Amino acid sequence: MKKHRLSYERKKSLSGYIFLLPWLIGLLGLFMPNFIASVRYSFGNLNLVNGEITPAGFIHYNTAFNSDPRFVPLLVAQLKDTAIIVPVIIMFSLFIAVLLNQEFKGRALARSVFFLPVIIGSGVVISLIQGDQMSNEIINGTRASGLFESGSIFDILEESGINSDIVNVMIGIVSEIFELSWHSGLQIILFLAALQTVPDQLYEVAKVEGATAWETFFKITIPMIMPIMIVNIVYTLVDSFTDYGNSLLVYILELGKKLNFEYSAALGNVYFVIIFVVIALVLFVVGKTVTYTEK
Amino acid sequence: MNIIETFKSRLQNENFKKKVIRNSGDVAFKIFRTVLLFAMCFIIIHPVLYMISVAFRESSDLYDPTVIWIPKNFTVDNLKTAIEILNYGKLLGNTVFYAGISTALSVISCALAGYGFARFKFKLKGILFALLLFMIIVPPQLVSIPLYLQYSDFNFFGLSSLLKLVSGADLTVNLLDTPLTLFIPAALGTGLRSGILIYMFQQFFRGLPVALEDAAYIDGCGVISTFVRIIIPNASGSFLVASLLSFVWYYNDYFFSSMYFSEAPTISVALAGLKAMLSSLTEGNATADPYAIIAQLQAGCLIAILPLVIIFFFLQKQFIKSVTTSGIVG
Repeated sequence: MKKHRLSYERKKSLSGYIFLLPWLIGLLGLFMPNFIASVRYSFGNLNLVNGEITPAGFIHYNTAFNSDPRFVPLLVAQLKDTAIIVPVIIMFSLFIAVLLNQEFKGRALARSVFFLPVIIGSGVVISLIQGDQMSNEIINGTRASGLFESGSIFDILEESGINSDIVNVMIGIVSEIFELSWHSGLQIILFLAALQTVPDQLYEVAKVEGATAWETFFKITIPMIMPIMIVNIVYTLVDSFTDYGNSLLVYILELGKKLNFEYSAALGNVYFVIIFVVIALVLFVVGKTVTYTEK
Repeated sequence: MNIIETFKSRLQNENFKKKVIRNSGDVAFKIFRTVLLFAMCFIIIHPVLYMISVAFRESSDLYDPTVIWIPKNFTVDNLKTAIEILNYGKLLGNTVFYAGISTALSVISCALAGYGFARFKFKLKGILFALLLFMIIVPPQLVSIPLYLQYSDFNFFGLSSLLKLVSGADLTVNLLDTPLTLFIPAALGTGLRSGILIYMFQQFFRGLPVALEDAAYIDGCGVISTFVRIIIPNASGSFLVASLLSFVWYYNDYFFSSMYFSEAPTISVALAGLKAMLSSLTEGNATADPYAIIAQLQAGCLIAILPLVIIFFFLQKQFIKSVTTSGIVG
């Protein structure tokens, strides 16, 4: 009996590897060697003719932090942006998903509109559309999209003694409401799907026990959708760090195009390590609050 | 007057008062929700409407401040120019072909890997899953240069050097400028997007009841035929979502398609170069209208996203249904 069970377990574990086989080949054949190669570039000087690498120690890393005038400021700006935009996108998309999850007329239409950014919201088209709207406004001297302007209310806020940093953050959010709604498509879909999976019984119990809407939301909805919340946070972080218009990445890529591979790889590595640390921290902090219902 | 009087007298009743307060709160919330959703939808739709409006304008309408949405002089010339310069017919075929094959390959490999992670226990699972996350967060830009070198001298992961020992012939192939640079990573589930798909598939499969598979095993079904006969039909909604997302990602991809091809292979790459192309055409031509480019660019964007919008339009119902009912999450 025991022997039979073991062989079944064994068989199952082998089948696990069979299912992972294509991905494992990709991991070991395509991803890992190239990742290691890029780490090696960053510690050496690459000879483009014969592909040899002469070791150069930490020179490139030293340059990045001590003599490159652009890298550190760009990095700091990028981290600041990310720290603001990720929570905003998560809250915004959760809020929209909760609204879209309610019953109302025209819900199907509203849902498809919010999914539209997922379909067409990729780098090229959206940056062309945006860039163009700007230039057209300049030509016409008109403000076709003046609807995204809201200066005076912020003056009032500042006058009334609110810290100007906070006001600036708010201005940033409002003037980038366009970016925001175009970058939240997938998050809204995932939240919406997660909201559907919360069992109705829980809400019924909460109602019977006399919980308010707020309590129900924070004590039932949020914990139940926490696993997808993590997926969303990680996706948003990665999306923000690897965005098409991210000026730090543009800088790193430009260096690569100028055949300065080693330095480009070094900057890429620094950047990647920072992303890794940020995501690991977030996973650690947020992951502690997650409870899985099954298993 | 009478009504107000009765209303006032009924307000004395505590229960009625509570009800009125609650109802007015509900109404206020509904108004707030409608206004907010409408505004957000408008912000999302605005650039699309703008794109359509500008694409059909004659360039004189671009200067005319009285033209806001509806062009006075309706024209399809911009579309014609954009179609011609983008080499639309050929590139659309290319794009759909590349994106279609890559989608099929990546959905298969990611579904397999996702199923492996979701249902089986094996020794290295924890480490491999960490490597999956690792693969998602390593920016593609970082590995693109070594990847370029690997593709330019592709040795089938060392297989050809083994063959060389046996036969003596050098068997490396230059894959640059061939669609294999897109198909190979797709078939092997490598890269940021594939990583996310694997993660999503893992969540899909974890949500399916284990009893289904156990029943199949008891009836003597092997793991692979269980996957093909039981899992795939039961997770068809998730496959639809994954395929659509993946197709959109490949269709819109700029980075990889531009990296490994010397000529624009797909519409989005061509679109990125459209502005430069258009301005080089009018250069040195004093009578050319510099602002006509704007309308032509918007026309280019319009025809680039049109196929996706059409696909979404047809699949939209199933897509939304399978997202919201089959449950992406477990």
